[in-house]
Amino acid sequence: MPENLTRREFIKDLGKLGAAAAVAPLVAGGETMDSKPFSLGRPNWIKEIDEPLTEVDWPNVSRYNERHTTRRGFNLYVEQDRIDQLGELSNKLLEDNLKNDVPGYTLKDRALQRAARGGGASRTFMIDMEKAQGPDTWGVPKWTGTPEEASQLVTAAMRHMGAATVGFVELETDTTEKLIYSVDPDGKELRIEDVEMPEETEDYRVIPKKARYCIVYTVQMSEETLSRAPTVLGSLTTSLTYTRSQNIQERTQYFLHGLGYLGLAESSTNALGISPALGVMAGLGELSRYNRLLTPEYGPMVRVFKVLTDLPLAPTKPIDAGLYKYCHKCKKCADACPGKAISFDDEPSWETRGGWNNPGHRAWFEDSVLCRFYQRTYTGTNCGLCFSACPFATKNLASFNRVRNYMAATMPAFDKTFKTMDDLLYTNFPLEFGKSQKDCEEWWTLNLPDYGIDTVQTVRETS
Amino acid sequence: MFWLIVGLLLGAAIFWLATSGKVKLTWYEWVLGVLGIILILFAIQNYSASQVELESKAAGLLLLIFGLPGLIFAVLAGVLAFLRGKKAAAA
Repeated sequence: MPENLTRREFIKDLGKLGAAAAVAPLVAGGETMDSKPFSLGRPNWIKEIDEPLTEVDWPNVSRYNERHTTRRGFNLYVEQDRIDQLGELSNKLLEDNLKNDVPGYTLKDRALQRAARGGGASRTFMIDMEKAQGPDTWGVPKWTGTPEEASQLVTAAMRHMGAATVGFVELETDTTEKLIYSVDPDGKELRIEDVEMPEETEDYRVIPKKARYCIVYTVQMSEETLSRAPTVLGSLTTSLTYTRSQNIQERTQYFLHGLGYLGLAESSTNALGISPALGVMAGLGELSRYNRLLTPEYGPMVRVFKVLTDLPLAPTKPIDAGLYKYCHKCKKCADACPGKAISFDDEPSWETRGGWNNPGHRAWFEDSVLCRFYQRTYTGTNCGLCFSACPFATKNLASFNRVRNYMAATMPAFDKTFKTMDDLLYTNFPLEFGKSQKDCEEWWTLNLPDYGIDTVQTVRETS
Repeated sequence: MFWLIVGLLLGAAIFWLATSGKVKLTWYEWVLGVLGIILILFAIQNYSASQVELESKAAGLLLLIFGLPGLIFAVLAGVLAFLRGKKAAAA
Protein backbone atom coordinates (compact mmCIF):
# COMPACT_ATOMS: atom_id res chain seq x y z
CA MET A 1 0.00 0.00 0.00
CA PRO A 2 1.49 3.40 -0.89
CA GLU A 3 2.36 5.76 1.92
CA ASN A 4 -0.24 8.33 0.98
CA LEU A 5 -3.10 5.86 0.83
CA THR A 6 -4.96 5.85 4.12
CA ARG A 7 -6.80 2.85 5.47
CA ARG A 8 -10.08 4.64 4.88
CA GLU A 9 -9.19 5.31 1.25
CA PHE A 10 -8.10 1.69 0.82
CA ILE A 11 -11.42 0.44 2.14
CA LYS A 12 -13.23 2.91 -0.09
CA ASP A 13 -11.42 1.51 -3.11
CA LEU A 14 -12.24 -2.03 -2.11
CA GLY A 15 -15.85 -0.96 -1.93
CA LYS A 16 -15.66 0.04 -5.58
CA LEU A 17 -14.79 -3.45 -6.76
CA GLY A 18 -17.51 -5.36 -8.49
CA ALA A 19 -17.00 -8.39 -6.27
CA ALA A 20 -17.90 -6.30 -3.28
CA ALA A 21 -20.72 -4.58 -5.11
CA ALA A 22 -23.33 -5.93 -2.75
CA VAL A 23 -21.65 -4.56 0.33
CA ALA A 24 -20.06 -1.49 -1.24
CA PRO A 25 -22.81 0.90 -0.18
CA LEU A 26 -22.28 -0.17 3.45
CA VAL A 27 -18.52 0.42 3.26
CA ALA A 28 -18.32 3.56 1.23
CA GLY A 29 -21.73 5.03 1.87
CA GLY A 30 -21.79 8.74 2.56
CA GLU A 31 -18.14 9.29 1.66
CA THR A 32 -17.14 11.82 -0.94
CA MET A 33 -13.82 12.33 -2.67
CA ASP A 34 -11.50 14.77 -0.98
CA SER A 35 -11.84 18.29 -2.27
CA LYS A 36 -8.70 19.12 -4.26
CA PRO A 37 -7.62 21.78 -6.71
CA PHE A 38 -8.67 21.13 -10.31
CA SER A 39 -7.65 17.67 -11.41
CA LEU A 40 -8.95 15.04 -13.77
CA GLY A 41 -11.06 13.64 -10.94
CA ARG A 42 -9.63 10.17 -10.99
CA PRO A 43 -9.67 7.48 -8.30
CA ASN A 44 -7.21 8.34 -5.55
CA TRP A 45 -4.95 5.37 -6.34
CA ILE A 46 -3.88 7.19 -9.49
CA LYS A 47 -1.21 9.39 -7.95
CA GLU A 48 -0.45 12.88 -9.22
CA ILE A 49 3.28 13.54 -9.25
CA ASP A 50 5.43 16.61 -9.88
CA GLU A 51 7.72 15.08 -12.51
CA PRO A 52 6.72 12.40 -15.03
CA LEU A 53 8.05 8.87 -14.50
CA THR A 54 9.67 9.14 -17.92
CA GLU A 55 12.96 10.86 -17.14
CA VAL A 56 13.53 14.00 -19.21
CA ASP A 57 16.87 15.76 -19.65
CA TRP A 58 15.38 19.13 -20.61
CA PRO A 59 18.67 20.89 -21.56
CA ASN A 60 19.17 18.15 -24.17
CA VAL A 61 15.67 18.41 -25.57
CA SER A 62 15.21 20.55 -28.67
CA ARG A 63 12.08 21.52 -30.53
CA TYR A 64 11.58 18.75 -33.05
CA ASN A 65 10.95 19.05 -36.76
CA GLU A 66 7.82 17.00 -37.45
CA ARG A 67 9.03 16.37 -41.00
CA HIS A 68 11.75 14.15 -39.54
CA THR A 69 9.20 11.56 -38.41
CA THR A 70 8.72 8.58 -40.71
CA ARG A 71 5.18 9.87 -41.32
CA ARG A 72 6.47 12.74 -43.45
CA GLY A 73 10.18 12.08 -43.76
CA PHE A 74 10.36 8.40 -44.67
CA ASN A 75 12.73 9.38 -47.49
CA LEU A 76 15.23 10.64 -44.92
CA TYR A 77 15.78 7.05 -43.81
CA VAL A 78 14.91 4.94 -46.84
CA GLU A 79 15.83 5.44 -50.50
CA GLN A 80 13.06 6.74 -52.74
CA ASP A 81 13.21 3.66 -55.00
CA ARG A 82 12.57 1.42 -52.03
CA ILE A 83 9.72 3.64 -50.88
CA ASP A 84 8.16 3.41 -54.35
CA GLN A 85 8.51 -0.38 -54.26
CA LEU A 86 6.85 -0.49 -50.87
CA GLY A 87 4.04 1.69 -52.16
CA GLU A 88 3.48 -0.69 -55.07
CA LEU A 89 3.52 -3.69 -52.73
CA SER A 90 1.01 -2.00 -50.44
CA ASN A 91 -1.35 -1.12 -53.29
CA LYS A 92 -1.09 -4.60 -54.78
CA LEU A 93 -1.87 -6.20 -51.43
CA LEU A 94 -4.95 -4.01 -51.01
CA GLU A 95 -6.07 -4.75 -54.58
CA ASP A 96 -5.55 -8.53 -54.28
CA ASN A 97 -7.23 -8.71 -50.89
CA LEU A 98 -10.19 -6.72 -52.18
CA LYS A 99 -10.62 -8.95 -55.23
CA ASN A 100 -10.20 -12.11 -53.17
CA ASP A 101 -12.68 -10.96 -50.50
CA VAL A 102 -10.14 -11.36 -47.69
CA PRO A 103 -11.92 -10.65 -44.37
CA GLY A 104 -11.09 -7.15 -43.16
CA TYR A 105 -10.23 -6.02 -46.71
CA THR A 106 -13.55 -6.56 -48.53
CA LEU A 107 -15.46 -3.89 -50.39
CA LYS A 108 -17.57 -3.06 -47.33
CA ASP A 109 -14.42 -2.65 -45.20
CA ARG A 110 -12.80 -0.41 -47.80
CA ALA A 111 -16.00 1.62 -48.15
CA LEU A 112 -16.29 2.14 -44.40
CA GLN A 113 -12.64 3.10 -44.07
CA ARG A 114 -13.07 5.66 -46.85
CA ALA A 115 -16.16 6.97 -45.08
CA ALA A 116 -14.32 7.22 -41.76
CA ARG A 117 -11.56 9.23 -43.42
CA GLY A 118 -14.00 11.59 -45.12
CA GLY A 119 -16.13 14.33 -43.63
CA GLY A 120 -15.36 16.35 -40.55
CA ALA A 121 -14.18 19.93 -40.39
CA SER A 122 -10.83 20.75 -41.94
CA ARG A 123 -8.00 21.37 -39.52
CA THR A 124 -6.75 24.94 -39.30
CA PHE A 125 -4.10 26.57 -37.15
CA MET A 126 -6.47 29.50 -36.56
CA ILE A 127 -10.17 29.67 -37.36
CA ASP A 128 -11.62 32.22 -39.73
CA MET A 129 -11.90 35.33 -37.58
CA GLU A 130 -14.83 36.57 -39.65
CA LYS A 131 -16.83 33.49 -38.68
CA ALA A 132 -15.74 33.56 -35.04
CA GLN A 133 -18.07 35.25 -32.60
CA GLY A 134 -17.19 36.41 -29.14
CA PRO A 135 -17.40 39.15 -26.55
CA ASP A 136 -16.72 41.84 -29.18
CA THR A 137 -19.60 40.61 -31.32
CA TRP A 138 -21.93 40.34 -28.39
CA GLY A 139 -20.86 43.61 -26.70
CA VAL A 140 -19.74 42.14 -23.39
CA PRO A 141 -16.33 41.86 -21.64
CA LYS A 142 -14.41 38.64 -22.19
CA TRP A 143 -14.86 35.77 -19.74
CA THR A 144 -12.78 35.94 -16.58
CA GLY A 145 -12.33 33.48 -13.76
CA THR A 146 -9.68 31.56 -11.88
CA PRO A 147 -7.44 29.15 -13.82
CA GLU A 148 -9.18 26.30 -11.98
CA GLU A 149 -12.59 27.53 -13.13
CA ALA A 150 -11.25 27.92 -16.68
CA SER A 151 -9.91 24.36 -16.67
CA GLN A 152 -13.25 23.07 -15.43
CA LEU A 153 -15.07 25.07 -18.09
CA VAL A 154 -12.88 23.89 -20.95
CA THR A 155 -13.04 20.27 -19.74
CA ALA A 156 -16.85 20.33 -19.57
CA ALA A 157 -17.12 21.94 -23.01
CA MET A 158 -14.65 19.61 -24.69
CA ARG A 159 -16.05 16.45 -23.17
CA HIS A 160 -19.47 17.52 -24.38
CA MET A 161 -18.03 17.90 -27.86
CA GLY A 162 -16.50 14.41 -27.85
CA ALA A 163 -13.17 14.51 -26.02
CA ALA A 164 -12.55 11.58 -23.67
CA THR A 165 -10.11 13.15 -21.20
CA VAL A 166 -8.73 16.69 -21.08
CA GLY A 167 -5.54 17.94 -19.42
CA PHE A 168 -3.50 21.12 -19.41
CA VAL A 169 0.19 21.97 -19.70
CA GLU A 170 1.62 25.41 -19.06
CA LEU A 171 4.41 25.98 -21.58
CA GLU A 172 7.73 26.95 -19.98
CA THR A 173 10.49 28.22 -22.27
CA ASP A 174 13.19 25.88 -20.95
CA THR A 175 11.05 22.78 -20.66
CA THR A 176 7.57 22.08 -21.99
CA GLU A 177 7.71 24.69 -24.77
CA LYS A 178 10.28 22.39 -26.40
CA LEU A 179 7.47 19.92 -27.03
CA ILE A 180 6.00 22.28 -29.63
CA TYR A 181 7.35 21.36 -33.07
CA SER A 182 9.89 23.65 -34.75
CA VAL A 183 8.40 22.77 -38.13
CA ASP A 184 4.84 21.65 -38.82
CA PRO A 185 4.02 18.64 -41.04
CA ASP A 186 3.39 20.92 -44.03
CA GLY A 187 6.89 22.34 -43.73
CA LYS A 188 5.87 25.67 -42.22
CA GLU A 189 8.12 26.86 -39.43
CA LEU A 190 6.41 27.28 -36.05
CA ARG A 191 7.67 30.51 -34.49
CA ILE A 192 6.94 31.48 -30.91
CA GLU A 193 7.16 35.26 -30.68
CA ASP A 194 6.28 38.04 -28.32
CA VAL A 195 3.41 39.37 -30.43
CA GLU A 196 -0.24 40.07 -29.72
CA MET A 197 -1.88 38.07 -32.48
CA PRO A 198 -1.07 34.82 -34.31
CA GLU A 199 -0.05 34.92 -37.93
CA GLU A 200 0.18 32.46 -40.79
CA THR A 201 2.08 32.95 -44.05
CA GLU A 202 3.26 30.68 -46.86
CA ASP A 203 6.39 29.79 -44.88
CA TYR A 204 5.63 30.04 -41.20
CA ARG A 205 3.11 30.25 -38.41
CA VAL A 206 3.53 32.57 -35.43
CA ILE A 207 2.34 31.48 -32.00
CA PRO A 208 2.10 34.48 -29.65
CA LYS A 209 4.15 33.91 -26.52
CA LYS A 210 1.06 34.69 -24.44
CA ALA A 211 -0.59 31.48 -25.70
CA ARG A 212 1.13 29.62 -22.87
CA TYR A 213 -1.53 27.04 -22.16
CA CYS A 214 -1.68 23.79 -24.05
CA ILE A 215 -4.96 21.91 -23.89
CA VAL A 216 -4.21 18.24 -24.44
CA TYR A 217 -7.11 15.90 -25.05
CA THR A 218 -7.76 12.33 -25.97
CA VAL A 219 -10.41 10.93 -28.27
CA GLN A 220 -11.41 7.33 -27.75
CA MET A 221 -10.89 4.56 -30.27
CA SER A 222 -13.00 1.42 -30.44
CA GLU A 223 -11.29 -1.56 -28.77
CA GLU A 224 -13.61 -3.95 -30.54
CA THR A 225 -12.70 -2.49 -33.93
CA LEU A 226 -8.97 -2.22 -33.36
CA SER A 227 -8.89 -5.84 -32.22
CA ARG A 228 -9.43 -6.53 -35.95
CA ALA A 229 -5.95 -5.04 -36.65
CA PRO A 230 -3.96 -5.29 -38.85
CA THR A 231 -6.64 -4.90 -41.52
CA VAL A 232 -8.46 -2.09 -43.27
CA LEU A 233 -11.38 -2.74 -40.92
CA GLY A 234 -9.14 -2.53 -37.84
CA SER A 235 -7.55 0.68 -38.95
CA LEU A 236 -10.77 2.56 -39.56
CA THR A 237 -11.29 3.37 -35.88
CA THR A 238 -8.02 5.32 -36.05
CA SER A 239 -9.25 7.20 -39.12
CA LEU A 240 -12.61 7.89 -37.50
CA THR A 241 -10.95 9.18 -34.32
CA TYR A 242 -8.88 11.62 -36.37
CA THR A 243 -11.92 12.96 -38.20
CA ARG A 244 -13.90 13.20 -34.97
CA SER A 245 -11.03 15.16 -33.43
CA GLN A 246 -11.19 17.62 -36.32
CA ASN A 247 -14.70 18.58 -35.24
CA ILE A 248 -13.68 18.75 -31.58
CA GLN A 249 -10.69 20.91 -32.45
CA GLU A 250 -12.64 23.42 -34.53
CA ARG A 251 -15.44 23.62 -31.95
CA THR A 252 -12.90 24.16 -29.17
CA GLN A 253 -11.35 26.97 -31.19
CA TYR A 254 -14.81 28.57 -31.59
CA PHE A 255 -15.50 28.08 -27.89
CA LEU A 256 -12.25 29.74 -26.85
CA HIS A 257 -12.86 32.64 -29.22
CA GLY A 258 -16.37 32.87 -27.81
CA LEU A 259 -14.89 33.40 -24.36
CA GLY A 260 -12.56 36.06 -25.80
CA TYR A 261 -9.31 34.08 -26.10
CA LEU A 262 -7.09 32.54 -28.76
CA GLY A 263 -7.47 28.96 -29.92
CA LEU A 264 -4.50 27.80 -31.99
CA ALA A 265 -4.49 24.20 -33.07
CA GLU A 266 -3.19 21.51 -35.38
CA SER A 267 -3.00 22.56 -39.02
CA SER A 268 -3.00 18.91 -40.07
CA THR A 269 -2.88 15.46 -38.48
CA ASN A 270 -0.23 15.25 -35.73
CA ALA A 271 0.79 18.90 -36.11
CA LEU A 272 1.68 21.54 -33.50
CA GLY A 273 3.47 19.42 -30.88
CA ILE A 274 4.50 15.95 -29.74
CA SER A 275 1.26 14.34 -28.64
CA PRO A 276 2.48 11.52 -26.37
CA ALA A 277 4.93 13.82 -24.58
CA LEU A 278 2.32 16.51 -23.99
CA GLY A 279 -0.14 13.82 -22.92
CA VAL A 280 2.36 12.57 -20.32
CA MET A 281 3.05 16.11 -19.06
CA ALA A 282 -0.70 16.77 -18.80
CA GLY A 283 -1.19 13.59 -16.79
CA LEU A 284 -3.49 11.97 -19.32
CA GLY A 285 -1.37 8.85 -19.16
CA GLU A 286 2.15 7.43 -19.05
CA LEU A 287 4.66 6.66 -21.79
CA SER A 288 4.42 3.01 -22.77
CA ARG A 289 6.84 0.44 -24.16
CA TYR A 290 5.46 1.10 -27.66
CA ASN A 291 6.40 4.75 -27.06
CA ARG A 292 2.84 6.05 -27.15
CA LEU A 293 0.45 7.32 -24.48
CA LEU A 294 -1.02 4.66 -22.21
CA THR A 295 -3.99 5.96 -20.23
CA PRO A 296 -5.54 4.61 -17.01
CA GLU A 297 -9.06 4.86 -18.43
CA TYR A 298 -8.75 3.50 -21.95
CA GLY A 299 -5.28 1.98 -22.07
CA PRO A 300 -3.82 2.76 -25.49
CA MET A 301 -7.24 3.10 -27.13
CA VAL A 302 -7.02 6.84 -27.67
CA ARG A 303 -5.50 9.40 -30.00
CA VAL A 304 -4.05 12.57 -28.52
CA PHE A 305 -4.57 16.14 -29.77
CA LYS A 306 -3.59 19.69 -28.77
CA VAL A 307 -4.91 23.27 -28.76
CA LEU A 308 -2.96 26.33 -27.55
CA THR A 309 -4.67 29.25 -25.84
CA ASP A 310 -3.96 32.40 -23.85
CA LEU A 311 -6.85 31.60 -21.49
CA PRO A 312 -5.04 30.99 -18.17
CA LEU A 313 -5.64 27.35 -17.24
CA ALA A 314 -4.71 25.37 -14.14
CA PRO A 315 -2.17 22.75 -15.28
CA THR A 316 -2.83 19.10 -14.55
CA LYS A 317 0.03 17.04 -13.14
CA PRO A 318 1.77 13.96 -14.53
CA ILE A 319 0.54 10.70 -13.03
CA ASP A 320 1.72 7.39 -11.70
CA ALA A 321 -0.96 4.77 -12.30
CA GLY A 322 1.58 1.95 -12.43
CA LEU A 323 1.37 1.68 -16.22
CA TYR A 324 4.98 2.62 -17.02
CA LYS A 325 6.17 0.14 -14.38
CA TYR A 326 3.87 -2.52 -15.82
CA CYS A 327 5.47 -1.99 -19.26
CA HIS A 328 8.86 -2.93 -17.79
CA LYS A 329 7.70 -6.51 -17.24
CA CYS A 330 4.94 -6.99 -19.78
CA LYS A 331 6.50 -6.80 -23.30
CA LYS A 332 3.29 -8.11 -24.86
CA CYS A 333 3.28 -5.36 -27.52
CA ALA A 334 6.86 -6.21 -28.47
CA ASP A 335 5.92 -9.90 -28.71
CA ALA A 336 2.91 -9.07 -30.89
CA CYS A 337 4.79 -6.70 -33.21
CA PRO A 338 5.34 -8.61 -36.47
CA GLY A 339 7.76 -5.94 -37.69
CA LYS A 340 9.99 -6.35 -34.61
CA ALA A 341 9.93 -2.58 -34.22
CA ILE A 342 9.35 -2.47 -30.45
CA SER A 343 12.10 -2.78 -27.87
CA PHE A 344 12.39 -5.91 -25.70
CA ASP A 345 14.84 -4.18 -23.33
CA ASP A 346 14.02 -4.46 -19.65
CA GLU A 347 14.79 -0.81 -19.05
CA PRO A 348 14.13 2.26 -21.20
CA SER A 349 17.13 3.96 -22.73
CA TRP A 350 18.46 7.44 -23.50
CA GLU A 351 19.72 6.13 -26.88
CA THR A 352 17.34 6.79 -29.76
CA ARG A 353 16.88 4.33 -32.63
CA GLY A 354 17.00 6.97 -35.36
CA GLY A 355 16.22 10.50 -36.40
CA TRP A 356 12.50 9.81 -36.08
CA ASN A 357 12.91 9.78 -32.29
CA ASN A 358 13.39 13.04 -30.39
CA PRO A 359 16.32 12.61 -27.96
CA GLY A 360 16.46 13.95 -24.42
CA HIS A 361 14.23 11.51 -22.62
CA ARG A 362 14.51 7.94 -21.45
CA ALA A 363 12.13 5.68 -23.31
CA TRP A 364 11.70 2.44 -25.19
CA PHE A 365 12.35 3.99 -28.59
CA GLU A 366 10.70 2.18 -31.48
CA ASP A 367 12.21 1.40 -34.86
CA SER A 368 9.78 3.41 -36.91
CA VAL A 369 11.30 2.33 -40.22
CA LEU A 370 10.75 -1.36 -39.44
CA CYS A 371 7.19 -0.51 -38.40
CA ARG A 372 6.45 1.22 -41.72
CA PHE A 373 8.17 -1.52 -43.73
CA TYR A 374 5.89 -4.11 -42.16
CA GLN A 375 2.78 -2.02 -42.65
CA ARG A 376 3.43 -1.34 -46.31
CA THR A 377 4.56 -4.87 -47.12
CA TYR A 378 2.05 -6.94 -45.19
CA THR A 379 -1.00 -4.88 -44.22
CA GLY A 380 -1.44 -2.18 -46.86
CA THR A 381 -2.80 0.01 -44.09
CA ASN A 382 -2.07 1.00 -40.47
CA CYS A 383 -1.11 -1.92 -38.27
CA GLY A 384 -2.14 -1.23 -34.65
CA LEU A 385 -1.29 -4.69 -33.30
CA CYS A 386 0.77 -3.16 -30.47
CA PHE A 387 -2.28 -1.19 -29.36
CA SER A 388 -4.71 -4.09 -29.57
CA ALA A 389 -2.35 -6.54 -27.83
CA CYS A 390 -1.83 -4.25 -24.81
CA PRO A 391 -3.38 -5.74 -21.64
CA PHE A 392 -4.84 -2.32 -20.82
CA ALA A 393 -6.81 -2.30 -24.08
CA THR A 394 -9.75 -3.76 -22.20
CA LYS A 395 -13.18 -2.29 -21.68
CA ASN A 396 -12.97 -2.44 -17.86
CA LEU A 397 -16.54 -3.60 -17.34
CA ALA A 398 -15.29 -6.87 -15.85
CA SER A 399 -14.15 -6.10 -12.33
CA PHE A 400 -11.11 -8.35 -12.78
CA ASN A 401 -9.61 -5.68 -15.03
CA ARG A 402 -10.42 -2.96 -12.54
CA VAL A 403 -8.70 -5.00 -9.83
CA ARG A 404 -5.73 -5.29 -12.22
CA ASN A 405 -5.71 -1.49 -12.71
CA TYR A 406 -5.75 -0.95 -8.95
CA MET A 407 -3.06 -3.56 -8.33
CA ALA A 408 -0.83 -2.15 -11.10
CA ALA A 409 -0.95 1.24 -9.41
CA THR A 410 -0.40 0.02 -5.87
CA MET A 411 1.31 -3.39 -5.94
CA PRO A 412 3.56 -3.70 -9.02
CA ALA A 413 4.93 -7.00 -7.66
CA PHE A 414 1.83 -8.64 -9.17
CA ASP A 415 2.31 -7.15 -12.68
CA LYS A 416 3.76 -10.33 -14.14
CA THR A 417 0.94 -12.42 -12.67
CA PHE A 418 -1.68 -10.16 -14.19
CA LYS A 419 0.12 -10.23 -17.54
CA THR A 420 0.02 -14.04 -17.47
CA MET A 421 -3.68 -13.87 -16.64
CA ASP A 422 -4.22 -11.47 -19.54
CA ASP A 423 -2.50 -13.92 -21.91
CA LEU A 424 -4.81 -16.65 -20.68
CA LEU A 425 -8.02 -14.61 -20.85
CA TYR A 426 -7.66 -12.39 -23.88
CA THR A 427 -5.10 -13.89 -26.24
CA ASN A 428 -6.23 -16.47 -28.71
CA PHE A 429 -3.80 -19.35 -28.91
CA PRO A 430 -2.27 -20.57 -31.08
CA LEU A 431 -1.46 -16.94 -31.89
CA GLU A 432 -1.54 -16.38 -35.63
CA PHE A 433 1.39 -14.04 -35.99
CA GLY A 434 0.45 -10.71 -37.50
CA LYS A 435 -3.21 -11.71 -37.86
CA SER A 436 -6.36 -10.11 -36.53
CA GLN A 437 -7.24 -11.23 -33.00
CA LYS A 438 -10.95 -11.33 -33.79
CA ASP A 439 -13.18 -12.30 -36.70
CA CYS A 440 -13.54 -9.40 -39.15
CA GLU A 441 -16.79 -10.66 -40.69
CA GLU A 442 -18.37 -11.03 -37.25
CA TRP A 443 -17.71 -7.32 -36.59
CA TRP A 444 -20.46 -6.37 -39.03
CA THR A 445 -23.05 -8.22 -36.95
CA LEU A 446 -22.11 -6.85 -33.52
CA ASN A 447 -24.33 -3.74 -33.45
CA LEU A 448 -21.73 -1.77 -31.51
CA PRO A 449 -22.59 1.48 -29.67
CA ASP A 450 -21.99 4.97 -31.12
CA TYR A 451 -18.50 5.10 -32.63
CA GLY A 452 -17.93 1.63 -31.15
CA ILE A 453 -16.92 3.18 -27.82
CA ASP A 454 -18.15 3.28 -24.24
CA THR A 455 -18.62 6.96 -23.49
CA VAL A 456 -19.54 6.45 -19.83
CA GLN A 457 -16.23 4.77 -18.98
CA THR A 458 -14.53 7.89 -17.59
CA VAL A 459 -17.63 8.76 -15.64
CA ARG A 460 -17.57 5.30 -14.14
CA GLU A 461 -13.87 5.59 -13.30
CA THR A 462 -14.37 8.90 -11.53
CA SER A 463 -17.63 8.17 -9.71
CA MET B 1 -30.56 -2.91 -9.32
CA PHE B 2 -29.42 -6.53 -9.71
CA TRP B 3 -26.61 -6.03 -7.20
CA LEU B 4 -28.90 -4.19 -4.79
CA ILE B 5 -31.30 -7.15 -4.80
CA VAL B 6 -28.40 -9.60 -4.38
CA GLY B 7 -27.09 -7.49 -1.50
CA LEU B 8 -30.48 -7.35 0.22
CA LEU B 9 -31.02 -11.11 -0.14
CA LEU B 10 -27.53 -11.90 1.12
CA GLY B 11 -27.87 -9.45 3.98
CA ALA B 12 -31.18 -11.04 4.99
CA ALA B 13 -29.68 -14.55 4.77
CA ILE B 14 -26.63 -13.61 6.85
CA PHE B 15 -28.82 -11.82 9.41
CA TRP B 16 -31.02 -14.93 9.70
CA LEU B 17 -27.99 -17.21 10.06
CA ALA B 18 -26.46 -14.98 12.73
CA THR B 19 -29.59 -14.38 14.80
CA SER B 20 -32.04 -17.25 14.34
CA GLY B 21 -30.06 -19.74 16.39
CA LYS B 22 -31.25 -22.58 14.17
CA VAL B 23 -27.86 -22.92 12.52
CA LYS B 24 -24.74 -22.27 14.55
CA LEU B 25 -21.59 -21.71 12.53
CA THR B 26 -18.02 -21.87 13.80
CA TRP B 27 -15.63 -19.02 12.93
CA TYR B 28 -13.94 -21.00 10.16
CA GLU B 29 -17.30 -21.93 8.63
CA TRP B 30 -18.15 -18.22 8.53
CA VAL B 31 -14.78 -17.45 6.86
CA LEU B 32 -15.19 -20.22 4.29
CA GLY B 33 -18.81 -19.26 3.59
CA VAL B 34 -18.18 -15.53 3.21
CA LEU B 35 -15.08 -16.13 1.07
CA GLY B 36 -17.06 -18.54 -1.10
CA ILE B 37 -19.89 -16.06 -1.60
CA ILE B 38 -17.47 -13.24 -2.44
CA LEU B 39 -15.73 -15.42 -5.03
CA ILE B 40 -19.04 -16.55 -6.53
CA LEU B 41 -20.26 -12.95 -6.80
CA PHE B 42 -16.94 -11.91 -8.33
CA ALA B 43 -17.22 -14.73 -10.85
CA ILE B 44 -20.82 -13.81 -11.74
CA GLN B 45 -19.95 -10.14 -12.22
CA ASN B 46 -16.94 -10.96 -14.38
CA TYR B 47 -18.87 -13.50 -16.41
CA SER B 48 -21.77 -11.18 -17.21
CA ALA B 49 -19.54 -8.12 -17.80
CA SER B 50 -17.19 -10.09 -20.05
CA GLN B 51 -20.14 -11.26 -22.12
CA VAL B 52 -21.18 -7.60 -22.52
CA GLU B 53 -17.58 -6.88 -23.51
CA LEU B 54 -17.91 -9.58 -26.22
CA GLU B 55 -15.10 -11.55 -24.57
CA SER B 56 -16.73 -14.95 -24.27
CA LYS B 57 -13.47 -16.83 -23.68
CA ALA B 58 -12.55 -14.52 -20.81
CA ALA B 59 -16.11 -14.82 -19.47
CA GLY B 60 -15.95 -18.61 -19.27
CA LEU B 61 -12.46 -18.68 -17.79
CA LEU B 62 -13.21 -16.04 -15.15
CA LEU B 63 -16.35 -17.93 -14.17
CA LEU B 64 -14.27 -21.07 -13.79
CA ILE B 65 -11.24 -19.50 -12.07
CA PHE B 66 -13.23 -17.66 -9.41
CA GLY B 67 -16.55 -19.48 -9.41
CA LEU B 68 -15.23 -22.99 -8.85
CA PRO B 69 -13.15 -22.25 -5.72
CA GLY B 70 -16.02 -20.07 -4.49
CA LEU B 71 -18.45 -22.92 -4.91
CA ILE B 72 -16.07 -25.35 -3.17
CA PHE B 73 -15.62 -22.98 -0.19
CA ALA B 74 -19.35 -22.30 0.12
CA VAL B 75 -20.29 -25.98 -0.17
CA LEU B 76 -17.54 -26.94 2.27
CA ALA B 77 -18.84 -24.44 4.82
CA GLY B 78 -22.35 -25.88 4.41
CA VAL B 79 -21.21 -29.49 4.62
CA LEU B 80 -19.07 -28.85 7.70
CA ALA B 81 -21.98 -27.11 9.45
CA PHE B 82 -24.38 -29.89 8.44
CA LEU B 83 -22.07 -32.69 9.65
CA ARG B 84 -21.38 -30.90 12.92
CA GLY B 85 -25.11 -30.36 13.44
CA LYS B 86 -25.82 -34.03 12.69
CA LYS B 87 -23.10 -35.15 15.11
CA ALA B 88 -24.43 -32.88 17.82
CA ALA B 89 -27.97 -34.20 17.30
CA ALA B 90 -26.75 -37.79 17.51
CA ALA B 91 -24.82 -37.16 20.74
